[in-house]
Formats: sequence, C-alpha cells, structure tokens
Amino acid sequence: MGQYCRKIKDDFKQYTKILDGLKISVHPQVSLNEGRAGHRKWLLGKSSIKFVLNNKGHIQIRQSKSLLVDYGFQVFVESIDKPILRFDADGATHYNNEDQTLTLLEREIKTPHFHKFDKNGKEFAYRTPAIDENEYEIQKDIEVGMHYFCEENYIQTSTGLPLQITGQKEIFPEDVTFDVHKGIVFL
Amino acid sequence: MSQLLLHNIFQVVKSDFCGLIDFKMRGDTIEIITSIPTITNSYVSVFVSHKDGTYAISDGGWISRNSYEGQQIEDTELLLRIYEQYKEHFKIKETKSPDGIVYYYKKADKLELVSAMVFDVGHFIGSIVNTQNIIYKEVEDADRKLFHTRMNGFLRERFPANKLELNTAVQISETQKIRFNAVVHANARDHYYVMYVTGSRSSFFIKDLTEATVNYEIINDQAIKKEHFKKVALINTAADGYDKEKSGIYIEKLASALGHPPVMINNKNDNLRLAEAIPA
Repeated sequence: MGQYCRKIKDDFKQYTKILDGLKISVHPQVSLNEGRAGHRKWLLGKSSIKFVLNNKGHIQIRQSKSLLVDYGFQVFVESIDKPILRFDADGATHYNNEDQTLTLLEREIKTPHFHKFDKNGKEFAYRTPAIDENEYEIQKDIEVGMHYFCEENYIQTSTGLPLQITGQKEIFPEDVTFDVHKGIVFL
Repeated sequence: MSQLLLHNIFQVVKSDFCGLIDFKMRGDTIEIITSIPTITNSYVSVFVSHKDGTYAISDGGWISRNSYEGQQIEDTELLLRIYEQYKEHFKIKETKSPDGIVYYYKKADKLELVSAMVFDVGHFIGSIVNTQNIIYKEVEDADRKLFHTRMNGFLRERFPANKLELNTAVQISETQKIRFNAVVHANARDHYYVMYVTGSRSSFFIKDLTEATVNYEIINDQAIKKEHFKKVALINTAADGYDKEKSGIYIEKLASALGHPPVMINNKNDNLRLAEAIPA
C-alpha cells in the first residue's frame, strides 16, 4: 500500500522491540459481526492486545462480504494511527519500490502477503516460506491465515495458542463470491 | 558499446517486463496481474472470463471496492470530468453487480483481441486510481489557498500592517496559544478575532467550522475578556464543500459560540459584507 509513518521512522528501535516482542491477545476468540455504517461491506472483529513495554493496542480482523477470500488482519498500537502489522489474504499485488537494489521481478509481491515498516517509515509487503507452502489453505480458511499471522508476528492468547475466529463466512473456491465475474451481466 | 551488448540490454528488460505479468485462477475467471503500477504501490489486476462466445475483460469491481487502497474521496466535478475523459479514451463500459458494486469493462469476440482489451482496461484502472490519489491533496490545498489569499488581501487593503496580524497565534494562558486566521486591531477599542471557513469537500469544510467554533469557545472561556474583543467568522459559501444540509448544524454551533451569525461570503457581495463585519 505504500504507507508512510513518521513516528515509526523517528523511533525505529521502539518499533522493532514491539515487533519482536510477545503480543498477547486479551480474548482467546474473536467473533466477526456485520460492520456498521461506513463498513457495511465487511464482517469485522477485534481484540485488545498487550505488547511488551506496556504498550496497548488491538488486532482487527475483517472479511469482505462480497469477496469472501478477501480477508485481512491489522495490528494497531496506541499513538500510531496506521496498522503496524498487516496481513492481506487477497487483493491487489503489491510492489516494493523503496529498496532500489531489488530487481523488477523481486519487487512484485502477490497476495497472500504480510506488511510491516522499514527503518525509513515506509511500509513494505513480503511473503514467507510458510505462505508459499500453504497458500491454498490460507486462502480457503481464515483460521489458517490467522495461525500463520500469529506465528510470524509472535501473537498468542494467554494460553499460548493462536487466536480463534468465529462468525466468518466459509470460503469455497467455486463459490460465487470467489469468482468476480459470476452473476455479472456484461452487455 | 557494442550492438550485441545493447541488444542484450533490451533482452533483459523485455524478459523482466514480461516476467512481471502473472495470473491467479478464480473459478471461471482469470485474474491477470499486469505490470501497470499505481501510486498506492499496487499492480493493476484485470479479470477475464469467457461466456456465450464472448470474452469479458473487467476491473473485477476492484475500483468500486477500493481494492487498490486509495484515498476514499467524494467525486468532485473535476474528478468526474477526469473519469469521463479516461473512459472515453479507453472506450470503457460500466455495469453493476446485484449488490451495487460498479464494474468497468470491455468485451471481445476473438481471442486475439483480448490483449488489447486488457491493455485498455488495465491502463484505465491505473489512471483512475492514480488520479484519485493525486487529486486528493491538490484540490484541497488550492481551495484553501485561494480563499485565504482573498480574505487576507481584503484585510491588507483596509488595515495598515501595524493593525493587522495574519495567521497568528494568540496567547490565551501562560502556556497555551491558539491560532486565528487574522486578528485586526481596528482601533483602540475594537479587536477582531477572525476565522475563515472553506473546503473543497464537505469534510474539509466541516473541519474548518469545528475549528472556528472551538477557538471561539476557548476564548469565551478564557480571560481574554478584553472589553471589546469581537469575533468574526467568514464562511465561503462558494466553496465546493459547502452543503447547507451537512453544514447546517455546525454553523448553528458556530453562531452560538460567536453570539451572532457568521458572515457568508459568496464572490458577489464580498466587499460590502466584509466592510460591515470588520469596520475600519
């Protein structure tokens, strides 16, 4: 997405500590509900998070009602208005243009992918072997996505398990909400 | 440089550009990930399906769904004119899904024409997303700059420099200052604290209204109770963001804080109204 965050650039050490530190979700389970005004196209859920250094924040989960594979997670910490960590299961392919040492092909990062910030306060997208090896399962099941997101970002519930999700709509590849042209009349 | 080396350069570039193009399967539709970039750091995706002997090539509803994560802005007249130009240039059609998502698309009867359609739809998407994200900043600044320049200009014409403070921070307590667009020391008795209200979108306009209201509430509360301090808010009713219905309740609050109605400026009767509101 190319977000820029001045606060992260100004205190990158603190950001790194938070990133590397344990994050505890206050709730073991998050339930997704219909979004209210302005967010009606999404199912949304939230849980408070405790970070190291006593920082507080929350994790937000959303699933698109019109395209069920399009789900994502965002982690916020107080005092920073942009998500410090993100995961997009579907959607537009990202390109990283900050690191000018990357080749043209290395810039391209397909979904599913994670996002975090570099030392210049610029957000970048990346994939891991875990995503590469489990792409189909991740796209088919939001809890699988959450499992890998928690693993990558050291997020746990107080019992040491990944966050559980209820209320999500199940994703079937043949489903109308996966094929963006199904049901559309092109005159 | 030898011809061979130059040719090799071309081969590398061509190969890498071609390598950028990728795809994802989506049921009976294929998503083609193009190398067309957006300034939101995404690559444009174009969706193609084949049904009843025709190819449909579309944006997959992704512009409407804000999948390129751009700034979500109201469509000003300027923006709509720009959209129309791009639509016309690339010859794009429009339809809607049952749940109201807009799809931009083209059709083709032959496979050999699909690439050209992907080209047109892809560049259309990139143009629209990029336009939305650039316009977002520029239109806002231009409107504000224009109105502030006009109001400042009027005040400079009527008041000498030693009686006029523009864009000034006023001390309201030992540690606190608040900013006014202008403070006019018309004479020994009368000191006018002026706020400008304008905006190219209703959200900007309302922001100006609330800022003015709170500023006046603060000085009402604080002991800047010099005997004859006066409050004047100048509202640009010619602004794109001025909407009577949306702004109504905020204007009422502002009038409350002022103790009288704000001054409505609309390009036609400005000088008279301004002279009445802030007499020399």
